[in-house]
This record gives sequence, C-alpha cells and structure tokens, in this order.
Amino acid sequence: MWFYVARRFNLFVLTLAILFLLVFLMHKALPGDPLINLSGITNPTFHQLELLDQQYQLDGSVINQYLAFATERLSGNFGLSLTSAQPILNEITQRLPATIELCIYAMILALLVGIPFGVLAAFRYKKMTDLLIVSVSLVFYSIPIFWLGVIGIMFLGLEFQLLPVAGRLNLLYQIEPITGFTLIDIMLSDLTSKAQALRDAFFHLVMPTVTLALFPITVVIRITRAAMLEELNTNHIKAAEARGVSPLIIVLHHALPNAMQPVLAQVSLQLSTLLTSAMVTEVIFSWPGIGTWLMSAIYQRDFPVISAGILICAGLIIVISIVSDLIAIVGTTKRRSLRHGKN
Amino acid sequence: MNKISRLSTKLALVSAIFAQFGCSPAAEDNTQREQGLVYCSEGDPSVFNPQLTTIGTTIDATSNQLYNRLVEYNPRLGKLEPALAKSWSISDDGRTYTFALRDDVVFHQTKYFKPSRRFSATDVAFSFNRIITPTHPYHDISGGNYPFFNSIDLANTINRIEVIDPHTITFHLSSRDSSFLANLATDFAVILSQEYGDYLLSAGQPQLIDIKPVGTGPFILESHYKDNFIRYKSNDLYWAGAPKIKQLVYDITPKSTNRIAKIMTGDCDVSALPQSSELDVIRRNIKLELQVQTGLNVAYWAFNNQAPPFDRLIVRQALAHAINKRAIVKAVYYGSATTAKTVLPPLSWAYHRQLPIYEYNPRKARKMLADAGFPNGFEMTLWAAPAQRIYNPNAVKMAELIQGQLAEIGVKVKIVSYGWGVFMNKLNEYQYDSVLLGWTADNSDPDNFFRPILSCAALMSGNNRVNWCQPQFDQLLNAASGHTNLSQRVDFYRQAQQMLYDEVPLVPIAHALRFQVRDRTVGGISLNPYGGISFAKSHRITKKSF
Repeated sequence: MWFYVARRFNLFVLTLAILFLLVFLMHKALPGDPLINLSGITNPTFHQLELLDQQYQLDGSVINQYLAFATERLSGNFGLSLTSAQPILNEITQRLPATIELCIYAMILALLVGIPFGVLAAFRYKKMTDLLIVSVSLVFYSIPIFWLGVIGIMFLGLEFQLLPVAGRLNLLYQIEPITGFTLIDIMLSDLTSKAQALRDAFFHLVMPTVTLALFPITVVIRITRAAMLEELNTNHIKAAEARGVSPLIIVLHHALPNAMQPVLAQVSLQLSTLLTSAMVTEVIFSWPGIGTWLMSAIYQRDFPVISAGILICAGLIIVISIVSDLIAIVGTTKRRSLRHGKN
Repeated sequence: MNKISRLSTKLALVSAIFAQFGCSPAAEDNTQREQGLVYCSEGDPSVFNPQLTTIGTTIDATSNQLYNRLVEYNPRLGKLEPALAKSWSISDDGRTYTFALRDDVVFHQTKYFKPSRRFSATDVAFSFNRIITPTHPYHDISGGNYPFFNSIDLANTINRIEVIDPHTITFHLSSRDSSFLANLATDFAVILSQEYGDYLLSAGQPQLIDIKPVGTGPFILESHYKDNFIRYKSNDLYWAGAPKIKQLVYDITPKSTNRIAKIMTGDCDVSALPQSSELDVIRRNIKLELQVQTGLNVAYWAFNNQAPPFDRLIVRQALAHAINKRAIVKAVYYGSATTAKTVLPPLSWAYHRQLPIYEYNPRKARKMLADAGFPNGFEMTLWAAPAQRIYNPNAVKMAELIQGQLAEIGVKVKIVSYGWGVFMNKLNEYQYDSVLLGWTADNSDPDNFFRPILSCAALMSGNNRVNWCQPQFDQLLNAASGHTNLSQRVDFYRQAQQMLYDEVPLVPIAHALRFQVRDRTVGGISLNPYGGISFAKSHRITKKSF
C-alpha cells in the first residue's frame, strides 16, 4: 500500500508541475507587459519594479522564470487583481467557501436522493419502478444545467415568485463572514432574528443546490443501481434469501454496505465535474463564488485573476481526486494490498 | 407494520420541519427587513468622494447618501434651495457670494473617526481649497484630478475663499459667473470634514479620506464588499431629521436581468436602470411601479478628432450622414428615447430648434468619402463598453448597428470592448478612432452639457473624449456664462450648437428617458433628471395605509 501512496504522490507532484507549466506558458503568450500580468501591479514604482524583477526572474532563463513563477504561486503570492487592486489570495479565500458550500450541499443532496432511488431500482430490477427511475434519470442526465437553471428562474422565481433567484442571503441580514459558510455564519452571528435569516438563506440555497445536484443525482442512481445488482447476485445474498431473511433486511443490511464502496469511489470521481457545473450554476444564480469571480475576470481581461483561478480550480480537482483515491485504497480491504491502482 | 408506522412518524416530522420554513419567501416581512431597504445598483463605486469623478454609479452611491452640499437644486420647483447654507447673498457686481451656514450640523460618528466639533465654515473652505489650491495637502491625494471642477475651471473662477466667522463664508470670484450657484448645487460639490482631514494627515494616511468617508449626509458608510454590496446605516443625528429606515444596502448587480429578477423575488426594493426591453414585464407586475423621468442626457458617438482621417471635416460629415439614428433608437432603446440633433436635449431652455440635421443618406456619404480620397472606405475602431448607462442601455448593440450601417459605405468597423473600469482607463490613452459615450447633466444649466465634455479644460482633465479643443468654442461658452441676461445667453449657446453642427466633433445620437423600478411598499424616492438618487426620505409603506 505504501508503494501505491508514494506512486500517487509522485503523480500529484508531476501533475501540478505540468499545470504550472501550462499556466506559465499561457502567461508567456498573453498580450501586454508580462510583469503586470504576473504581479497585477499596474503602475509599479521603480523600487517595486526592481523587486518584481527579482521575484519573477524575468532576466533569467525560461527555466528560471518558470521555477520563480511556481515558487511565488506556491507560497501563496498570486499577485494583485487588475480590477480591484486587492491581493488575489484574499479574494480567493473570500469566495472559495461559497463554492465549496454549494458543492457540499449538492453532493449531500445527490447522495440522499440518488442512493435510495438506486437501491429501489435495483430491488425492482426490470419492473415498472426500475424502468421509470432509469428513464427519468436518463432525461435529467441529458439536460444541460444552464438550461435547467434558467427554466427554474423563469418559473419558480419570476412566474410564481416562490424562490429567490440570486445571491446567498437577503442583504439586509448583516452576517459577519467568519467561516464563509452562510448557514454556519448565521448560527455564529448575534442576530436577533436568526430563524428568519436561516429561512431566507435556505430559500436562497434551494434552486442553486437542486440545479447543481440533479446531474450527480442521476449519476449516483446509475452507479448505485449497478453496484446493487452485482451485489444482489452474490452467493451470500442468495444464502440469506434461502434462510428466509426479509428482503428489506437483505437489501439494507447485507447488500447496501458492500455496494456502497464502489459507489463512493465513483462519486469522488464526479467531484471534478461537480466543480465545473458549480461554476456555471454560480453564474446563473449570481452566487458569489469562484465561478462568478472567474467569469467577471474573463470579461475584464484580468489576467492575474484568470491564471490564479485556473491554478486554484485545477489544483483543487487534482488534490480532491488524489485524496479520494487514497481514501478509497485505505477504505477497501480488497485493494489495500495492490501495488497498482485500479478503478 | 411497526416499521411502517415508524417511517410515517419520520415523514411527518420531516414535513413539520419543512412547514416551519413556510412556503413563500416573501410571505411575511419581519422587523429586520422592514427597517431596511435594498437598492440594486448597476455597478461598484470607484471611490467614496464625488469630487473626484463624474461617473454616475459613484455619484449614486455617495453624493446624496453620505454628503451634503451648500445649496441643493429642487428639480420639481426648478430652483435652488438651502442645504448646509441657510441663506446666501450675491454682491451687485456678481463676484462675491456670501453664505450663512447652519450651526446644527454634525459629521458622521464612525468606527474609524469620532468628530469633536460641529460643521463650520472651515470645512467648506477645506473642501473647496482641496480642489482649487494645488499646494493644498489634499490636492494631489487620490490622483489630484477633479474632472467636473477642472472642466468648469473652478480654480480660476474662484479667486479666494474667505472664512468670515464659523458660520459665514465668502467666495470671491475672479469674474462674473452666472452658473456658479448651480455648480455648487451639483452632486460633486460636497462638503468634507476638515477635522477628519487633519486627523488623517497626522496619522500619515491622507488617502483614506476618499475611501473611508466622513460626511454630513443622511447615511453612514458601514462596510463595502467590492463588487458585492455596500452597507449604510442611518445617521440618527442628521440635521434634516434622521432617515426613517435604519439600514440601506446597495446590492451591486451589473446585469439588468438579474436586477429585475431580484426585485421581482423581493431581494431588492428599488432597482436602477431597467432595460427598455424589460419594461413590459415590470408594467405587468402589480407589486412593482415603474418611474419614468425625461432625462437630461445625451448619448453620442465621439470621433478622436486628432487621429487621421478623423481630423478632416469631410470624413466626419460623411460618417454623420452614414448612420440611421432613427433605426438605432428603435433597436437599442425600444422607443424609450428621442433622436438627438445636438448634445442639448429639447427640454433645455437654450435648445436650438432651427438647427439643421445630417440626414441619413448613405449615397451622399459614400460620395463625400470618395471626395476625401477614400473611394473604397477605410478601417476604423469603435469603442463601446459592455456596461449599461442612463443614456445608453446597450452600447455594444449600438456599436454593432453602426458597424452594419457603415459597412454600406465601405467603412470596416472593429468594435473594441472592455469592462467599464478598464474601458475608462484605456480611453485616457486616446488609442481609439471613435467611441460611444454619453453625458448626464448634473444641473439645469446648459453650460453643463458643453463645458464638462467639449471644452479645452475638459481635454486636460480627461473628460473630453472627442480630443477636440477649439478656443473659439470655449469663448462662446465663457461669453454665455458671463452674462446673466437669459436672451443673451441663449444666443451664445445657439452659436455653440451651430458650431458643433458645423464641425461635427461628435454625432449626437439619442436622449434617453430615465427609468427606475420600485416595490410598492417603498416610498419617498424621487427620480431626479440630473442623475443622482437620494434615499434620505425613503420609507416603508405599511400594508394598512396601502
């Protein structure tokens, strides 16, 4: 197992290095003063210029420049935003929690809805219920979320005015961002009308979360169904059936725990898709996370922010997939002794 | 059986939890919401001091909320009213203005500064000396550019400011200026605190005066989260009576459709600048009211008059003949605007009704271009910002229409577009061939339509985007403001308009109507034809009185 972990770590470092290389090459190809694009300081003084030259080693060879660039970024120096003149790292820490919050709720919702329906479909294999679940999930699997989000805004928001369509909370509730997660921050705040604020935050969450969760729900349904079908055909299940154990207990107690392991492993692979969809969802619902931030940076030609956004999002996906891989290895007895990974 | 009953109890519990949340977010209000008001604004202010800018978004967020002026213009009555000055007198030669100031005005008590004294004449002197005296310690802070005041040449208009006693101040002008009081009433002529200035200077952080504002206005800045929101609380010690709302929030929402969505779902109470295409949706919604105001504004197509071939009159005239204003107004404003003959709207008393127009005539335009030596046309850039302004709801669309119309006479147009902030900065480099911009008047004086955007002084301050400086034109403006006799002034302004027609430094396109949406539970917000919005008198209308 340790050999496997080491291999994964190697892969992690290598992928990061390539990611940095790509972003570095992108910087090389950008129009304008490379120093401004790297640092985000629009009118540097002479002193600053000297310092920046030192930092990014623009006089050195390309390899030196690349190493200097990677060192700066890895130590948390992403430069300043061209539009706001704020350190980009601050902006990231302000916005990342909003994205993560949305992703977590969507994932939880996907598991809460997807697993029961997947189990139900497997249990009623090739019956009406199964066919219905599979076909409905196929429909939602094929719907692009930007369309779904807009339809949701049109009907639930504008036509029937049931749900708010933008933002995280009505701005009249004054919540200090401590953790960056709205619900937790409301609980921590000293607001007098906490219940109403929570209610408001909940309503703001409904549409983005559901929009974002629909795709993972269908994926979870399909994976759970497949894993359960495989599990229900194994010998120990047949033995339990022969002993006369009730079907409910067989499914929940004997089959589900075993079927869960491949499901969770597969779900962690979905996280990168989730992050990408989250960006689209954020733009649709004006959710103040990384997605809207990156999108407005693209409109404003804010190159330091664009490159930082690419590094952060891609880096996040690399970290998540490797960590979830490791968790799967540690958690699965069968795979713990493997020298090579397998999905 | 047992399991099923347990399951059903669980289900009942879950549904009870959901019932707690209710089913409609806008069903009932609560105190937090009733005491506050959310305004969906179209952009982020660049700075919290209106002296430093002419950008409407910044003015809306600062001028009438955080500050006061000596005198204020009442658009309904069409005259000036006392504000921080109780009364004023003008000497017979029209060169000395003496103001008697209020003695019950206090500056904001904020987290970062607690004033120890009341508003007095030294604050007025401080605020204006900052602008007009280059040696003033605050003159060069935040760039040292005061675009509006530079364009009206305030530094040379005011000879000297004299503090007579704490409640009396005198402005000595170097020459008679009939628009002086009107200029003091603009959204830019705000009064800052001298005590705060001294404090920041001794703390070594003078730049904070424009970022962490201290004013006398009805609201106090509490926090600003860039590109997201600005939070104000009410100034309970406001001299004209504390505002009825406790909290004011600007929800910064650049996209118009999002603003409409937010006001329809109750996240906003008032929303700025709905797009013309959305007006029908708003009119159909019984919860919302659409406020309309004939705007004192103009959208124009400015040529860079120093870049060839636009330095040649015949080329400019040809291009003026090549565009179909009527079609543009119809497609971009959906009829919520009138085509413009000159920069001055027909509402103004100095409007030149007999002015000829450049009619839409592509054939003539083509011939003129051929005469100018461009039988096959040429290539040019047209800059348009993807931001919505009062005078132009969709500059990019307008640019595309112009692109299509100019293609007919063989001119190839390349549209250049950046976000608003970057756009305005890049304009200062004068790299464009032509640009779509506009102007919203700050006061009722016609001078305000010419001097800030077309004078030589405006070229120095970076507000003159046509890159055109005609001393003769400036002389006309000076002559007009030097007279107090209305018919003489009209005469000079007509000559100025005639000159703009002859020289075509820019092509005026449209005068837009101004719209604003408000929830019917909110009252006391009036729409001002001169731009700036004010929430000082806003309040919630309770359901009973409704």
